[in-house]
Amino acid sequence: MGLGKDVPPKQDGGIVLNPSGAEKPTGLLTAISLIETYAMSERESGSAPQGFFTTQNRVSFFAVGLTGGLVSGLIAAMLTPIAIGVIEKYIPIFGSKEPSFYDQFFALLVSISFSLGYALVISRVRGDYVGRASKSAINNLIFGLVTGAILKLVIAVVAFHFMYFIVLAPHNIGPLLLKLHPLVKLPTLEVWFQWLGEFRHVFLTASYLVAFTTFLTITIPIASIVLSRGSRRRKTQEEKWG
Amino acid sequence: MFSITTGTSLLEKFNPLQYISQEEYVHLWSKAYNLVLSGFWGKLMAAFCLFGAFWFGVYRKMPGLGIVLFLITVIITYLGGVVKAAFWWAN
Repeated sequence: MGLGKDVPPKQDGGIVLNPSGAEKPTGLLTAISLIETYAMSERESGSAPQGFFTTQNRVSFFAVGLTGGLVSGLIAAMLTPIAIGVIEKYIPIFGSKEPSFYDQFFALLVSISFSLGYALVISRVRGDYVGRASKSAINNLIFGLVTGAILKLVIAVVAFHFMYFIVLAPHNIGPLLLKLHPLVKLPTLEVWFQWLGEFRHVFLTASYLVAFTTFLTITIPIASIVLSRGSRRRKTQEEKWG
Repeated sequence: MFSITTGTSLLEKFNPLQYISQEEYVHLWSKAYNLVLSGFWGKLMAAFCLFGAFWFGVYRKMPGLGIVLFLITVIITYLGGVVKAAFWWAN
């Protein structure tokens, strides 16, 4: 295997990367496993050759990040209006409509947990940012995550504004609820109408909270890699100076 | 030999109202609801499940178990309200 210049090779040989090129990841776990393998090889044998990580590999790592960022973000986005509904006492939590401070905090934590967990899983590769192949794989994975997160933000903001201004607008929701009349009694429909009228502003608040959680999702993996690189450089310098 | 009559009487044995009254049965379920979906124990279980979701999903790299625990957290957190709303609507 040819050696690049990012990581100097060790003298005692090492693990050789597949000469026919990098493998294609099918999901987040396989992507992380491949990154770990590249990093291990590059620590042992020096950086991978220039053409090892092909355009197709870049696209497949990007696709894994994009899908994950989009799906995890949409799950978080769906839970966000519910969390705000709990805080503003429209939605009960643990069967109670009078949430304590802990309940409100827990609702918010649950709403951001999925995205947060996904970002933390990706940030676990911070220690593997070593050679040409592993750096390229991580960069593409994170670029995919950022693109997916921004796409999710756009979808969520448009959907929440659509809910506020069109679906839940009083002149639209009234006739829509009345269509349920034979099935649901009129006093019940009136309660629903009032509740939806008061609840609809939650969607506007939620769209800005989703923007904040998107920022967190993007920042956590990038910051962890940057910080890890900094501390690795410091360590190398310290070793050099003895 | 198995007949429809014996089959029916066998199924009757699965009916809980054969053993306890309807009031006791409703009381049992409302106790289970209070234990699992509301109050201190519900909050404790939800907190454990969320912690477990991060522990297994992120730290132990077991995303399947992490997702299942996250779903259980969401169910414990919000199902109590859904059940209350359903009962309110039915009445």
